[in-house]
Amino acid sequence: MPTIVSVDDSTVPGEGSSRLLLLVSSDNKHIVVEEDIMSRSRFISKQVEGFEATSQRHAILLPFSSFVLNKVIEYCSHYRGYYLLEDDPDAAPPGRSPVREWDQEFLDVDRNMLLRIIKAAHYLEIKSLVGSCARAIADMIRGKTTEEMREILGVENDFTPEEEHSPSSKCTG
Amino acid sequence: MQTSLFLLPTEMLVGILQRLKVGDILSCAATCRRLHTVITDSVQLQYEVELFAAGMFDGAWGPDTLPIQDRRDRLQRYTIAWERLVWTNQISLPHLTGFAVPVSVSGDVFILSKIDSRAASVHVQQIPSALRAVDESHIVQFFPKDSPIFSAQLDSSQDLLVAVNGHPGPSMTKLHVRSLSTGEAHPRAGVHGFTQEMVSPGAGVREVCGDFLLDMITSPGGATTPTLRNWTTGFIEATAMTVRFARPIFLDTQHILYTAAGSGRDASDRARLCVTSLVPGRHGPAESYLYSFSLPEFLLYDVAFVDSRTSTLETGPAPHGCFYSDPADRLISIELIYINWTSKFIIDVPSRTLTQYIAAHPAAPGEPAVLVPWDAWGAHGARVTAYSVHSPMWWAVSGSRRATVSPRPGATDSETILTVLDYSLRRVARAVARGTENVVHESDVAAEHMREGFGELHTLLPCIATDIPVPDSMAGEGFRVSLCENGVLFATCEGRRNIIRDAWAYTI
Repeated sequence: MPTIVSVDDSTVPGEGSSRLLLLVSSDNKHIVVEEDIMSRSRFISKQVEGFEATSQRHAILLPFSSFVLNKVIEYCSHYRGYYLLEDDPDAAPPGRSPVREWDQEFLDVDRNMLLRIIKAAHYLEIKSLVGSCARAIADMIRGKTTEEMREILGVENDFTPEEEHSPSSKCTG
Repeated sequence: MQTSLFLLPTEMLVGILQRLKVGDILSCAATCRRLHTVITDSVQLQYEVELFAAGMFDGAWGPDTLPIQDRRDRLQRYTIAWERLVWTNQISLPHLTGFAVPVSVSGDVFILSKIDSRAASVHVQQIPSALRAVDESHIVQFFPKDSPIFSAQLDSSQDLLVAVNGHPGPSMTKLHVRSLSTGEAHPRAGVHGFTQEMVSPGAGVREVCGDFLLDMITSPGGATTPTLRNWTTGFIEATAMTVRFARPIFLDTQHILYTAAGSGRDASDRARLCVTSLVPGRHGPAESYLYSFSLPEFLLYDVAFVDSRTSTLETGPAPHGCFYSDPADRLISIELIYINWTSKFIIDVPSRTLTQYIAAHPAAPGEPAVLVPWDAWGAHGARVTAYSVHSPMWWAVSGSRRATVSPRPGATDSETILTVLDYSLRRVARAVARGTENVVHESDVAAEHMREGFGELHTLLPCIATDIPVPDSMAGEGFRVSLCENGVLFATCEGRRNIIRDAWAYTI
């Protein structure tokens, strides 16, 4: 859980219909972002509800770097105001969901970055971004051999030689 | 610093793995203990693997469909039942007497339509099975009698009946989207604007599957355009123009659209079959377009597909049959194509078998074609039937199973034998499961076995086969058999104008 730091209301002024939030990344960068943009995140929405209940606004500390956070904010800004099925399955669509090709380009990053983004998206509870990242990771390993998969996923072969001869036979029950 | 996948929570790993095909999931399971455990502990992933091992795909998923554990239980019982081939006794279906052949079949449900002086109606018949926990039911749904029902389709996995009444052509027709079991407006239709009775000019529904509905809209000028619509929202998803091919033929539960084009008469007009995924990224790399392959240079008569939809689980990797005819309109070849999203197997069985059959049963001088036009097969419900005018030979295909009805060699005329063969892909899947490094190779080897198996229809070594004696009353002219999904064997005896005189079902 992030530590909640109390800040003066003047630091994060309300402005028009969309107020501002102060997000603090693990490398201690302060990022000001419109509340509206981040409403896709269930985690942030819950924090904001908490602010409203207590009438106190705080900075939100997040356990990942500003580099990752900025990427998430870029995603949320892109889909600002859009209906995405995964995020609000109950909402009636005002129109069709936008084409998600943009996500592919957005997530054309190296594996480490992709894993960091999916973890951040999971932490912030942004289902659509988790889904897009999962799709991107799946695309990376699809059709690869076991050895190539180990490379891509960054895992070590920890089977004993005996197990290795029939490790997946158990999978069919 | 390298970030390892290890650091992700299990639910996210499952989320990633769910997007992969079974071969890739199994390769992943062989990478390390953690992933192996994640895969063996996930009910969802195990179900995917077991389905594949059984040579099946599942029907549509949705909030109101069967929970995964129940699906797994049914899959296991189903697999065991097929291994032991426990057939029930004949189930008589007296309700069907007097109808023409079923309009549409989905899973274990048939619909038949009827119009009389009082009302137009659609009769819904469900085949009972203890194994599948399905009771027999016969429901009649009525429609306004002023205009006939000229098209009806169903998707039993979604309790969905779509019927069109009116007159085909440019005049206005009404599209009814109903619940199959209650006859009320379907709960999912109309939620986002698609009304229960939607008025379209000249619409005629050809397919219903998942959220999509393929209908043919006839313009006032008389041109018919195949149009793909989402029946829960009413949006038009695609027309023939945007899918590039002239004849969208079939839509399956996996949201795959199969289209055919070209007559094959010359090189510039090669017959093609095209497979397109409507859900980008679901069936492979992000592009929605999966395959297009050329067909032999025969006149492409039609393409029929064996359906794999049902509420619980269904036979899949559906064989997709292509039917060719020569310019004299004789059936010359049937091909079955298996598509498992990685490779296609073209199994050219029947053409060989039928060729042999034709050679063995030459037509008398002046007779028409040896084989009369195939009949009684539909895009829905997994039935393909072909028979000859001289000597009965019927066969039906469902998933990896085939039923044949033929005179026993040397038998008297009245003796007919029905044989059910299981060409399950189980062997293929098990080969893949054992292969950890070289999945593709293993799979190809298995495909070769399969091809051999199909090539010699009567000397199939690895198949499970069982014979069911056919009573004299059923054998003979007008007897027709179709093997439908979920192991339902549907036999009818038809009189003139294809009116059913008697109908029975066998089921596991």
